[in-house]
Amino acid sequence: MARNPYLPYPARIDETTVENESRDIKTFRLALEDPADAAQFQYLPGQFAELSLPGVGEAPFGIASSPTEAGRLLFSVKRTGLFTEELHSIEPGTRIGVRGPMGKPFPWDRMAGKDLLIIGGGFAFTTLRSAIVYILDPANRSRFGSVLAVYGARTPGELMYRTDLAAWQARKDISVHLTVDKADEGWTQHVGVVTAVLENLTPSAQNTLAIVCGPPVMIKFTLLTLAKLGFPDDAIILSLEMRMKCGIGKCGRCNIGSKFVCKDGPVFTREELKALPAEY
Amino acid sequence: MTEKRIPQTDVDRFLARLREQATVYAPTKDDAGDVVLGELASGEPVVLEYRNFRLSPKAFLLPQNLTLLHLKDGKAEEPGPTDRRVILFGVRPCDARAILALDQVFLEGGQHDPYYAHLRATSVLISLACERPMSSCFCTSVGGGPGDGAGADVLAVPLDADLLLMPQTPRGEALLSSVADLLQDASPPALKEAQERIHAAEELVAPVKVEDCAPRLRAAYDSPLWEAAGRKCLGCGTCSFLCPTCHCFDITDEVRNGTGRRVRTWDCCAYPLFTLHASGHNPRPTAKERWRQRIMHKFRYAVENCDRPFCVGCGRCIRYCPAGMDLRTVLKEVGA
Repeated sequence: MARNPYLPYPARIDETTVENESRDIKTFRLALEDPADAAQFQYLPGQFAELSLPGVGEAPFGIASSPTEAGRLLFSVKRTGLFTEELHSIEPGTRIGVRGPMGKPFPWDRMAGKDLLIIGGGFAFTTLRSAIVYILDPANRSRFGSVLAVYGARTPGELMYRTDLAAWQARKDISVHLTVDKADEGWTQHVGVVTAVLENLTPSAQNTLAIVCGPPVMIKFTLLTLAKLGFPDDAIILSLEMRMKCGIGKCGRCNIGSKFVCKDGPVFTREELKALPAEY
Repeated sequence: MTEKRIPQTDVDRFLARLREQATVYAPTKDDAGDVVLGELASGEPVVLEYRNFRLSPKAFLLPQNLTLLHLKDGKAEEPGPTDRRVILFGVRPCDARAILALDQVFLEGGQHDPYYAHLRATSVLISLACERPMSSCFCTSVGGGPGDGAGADVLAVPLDADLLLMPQTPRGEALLSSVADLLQDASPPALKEAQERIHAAEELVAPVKVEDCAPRLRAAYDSPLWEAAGRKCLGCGTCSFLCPTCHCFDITDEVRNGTGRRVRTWDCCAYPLFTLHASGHNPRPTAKERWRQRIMHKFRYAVENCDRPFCVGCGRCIRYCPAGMDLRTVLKEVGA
């Protein structure tokens, strides 16, 4: 008998971390209570899950941890609506539910053997964190070519995962460029939009896949820049956000064209998205 | 499978026998005099003369409100098993056919929906062929017809004095076997009469141009007709709630003092909240995009994904739309 897909795994919030100066993004570290459930919860970077607060409801979030971080299941959530407001006010130790993993991950088979260009903006960096941690894991790193990451935020204080960023910048097997719209005192890295950084770096499109997650305006201009750099549409990988309920392709609300973002996505190539109505 | 017949005067007796094995719903008059698919509690007479029910029988498989989980003190539990056994008598062939579309969503392709599966497995359908299709009917243009047995376990066809019972599935065959003593074998003339009656009813259904609608809709995504339709649509959701194939749903929590339920309720793509993000962004911001979505989903995306339009031509959305919207007009105009 298959498990009821609407029944969340019981979990506990073990730790919450405020990620930014505005204090409206928190990372929640979850532990599934039953080891059998934890063994079932096998995911790859790019997938998402529904967090469930009984009495409040459910909402979908990208998984911010990598499966290589054993025992760490992370979700970074911006306080935006009713559910996230409630989530932000709960204390470590609180019980929560998780359904998933859901959706298709980044195309890891296609990414093997390729150089990778990772472009992120704002709080959409969550599944990109998952991807970078996964790529840099000693068991995986040799499967990929060079890795170049560009991450932008409004201000230095809005960059998430600062400990991770510092650790990555100290490594030789990844090049991480951070940029902010508005610098503050002591900021020594890039200032400007991610596209400006990209145009300076002029990464080669040769044998390269670009993975882009960010706010719509960043996506729009990044796509123009990537086209200028020679990236074909099927070498640009994006992740969509849609309002969701069931997460398993039944409830209909994440339907775009003949696709359901929850089960056919959320990861799509630009080529795939061009075949869909722009209803996202 | 063997066709059976029963005198129409014995239908009440037939249903009384079925009540011994299941809860039976059949066409009866409600307090307002409307014919509804109501529970046969005792010996009330069934009505065999009616066009179709205002509400589609999808609610038997996809209830308007369904408890997914019981919530208590932060814990979620599945509802326990039930001994439900339901027989639906008198469902029209269009509404029975709609179940094939629901099956594709909830049972096939990807995750199995245990709630739908349970209600489906515990419902036996006896559909009743239509003799007098309505002006809004167009079943014959979407693969069905007044004598279509698809989706039903037994198709019943009213004859001059008898009711012909044609099993469509092993479950239908078993149902008829369980009351075999009330039934007689149908003779070839009875089958011929049924065919003639069904054919006569088919002749009454006005055709609508549906067969090539998927490519036509693909080409007409930016057509100005959506703008015009969007100006008329009130966004009330009547079309979706009455539609036998519309299945989109919402999930919400109802909890008081720590106890309650997670409930699945009908939803509708015509509602602005359907796609509204927490950020305030709405990918389908006006009635234009939302009405287009409803038509596109039924006649293009469903055709591309499930190889069938998610429409059975029952005409409810046409009859009951308070703004007089008529999808037949769109299907005719689009890409024409």
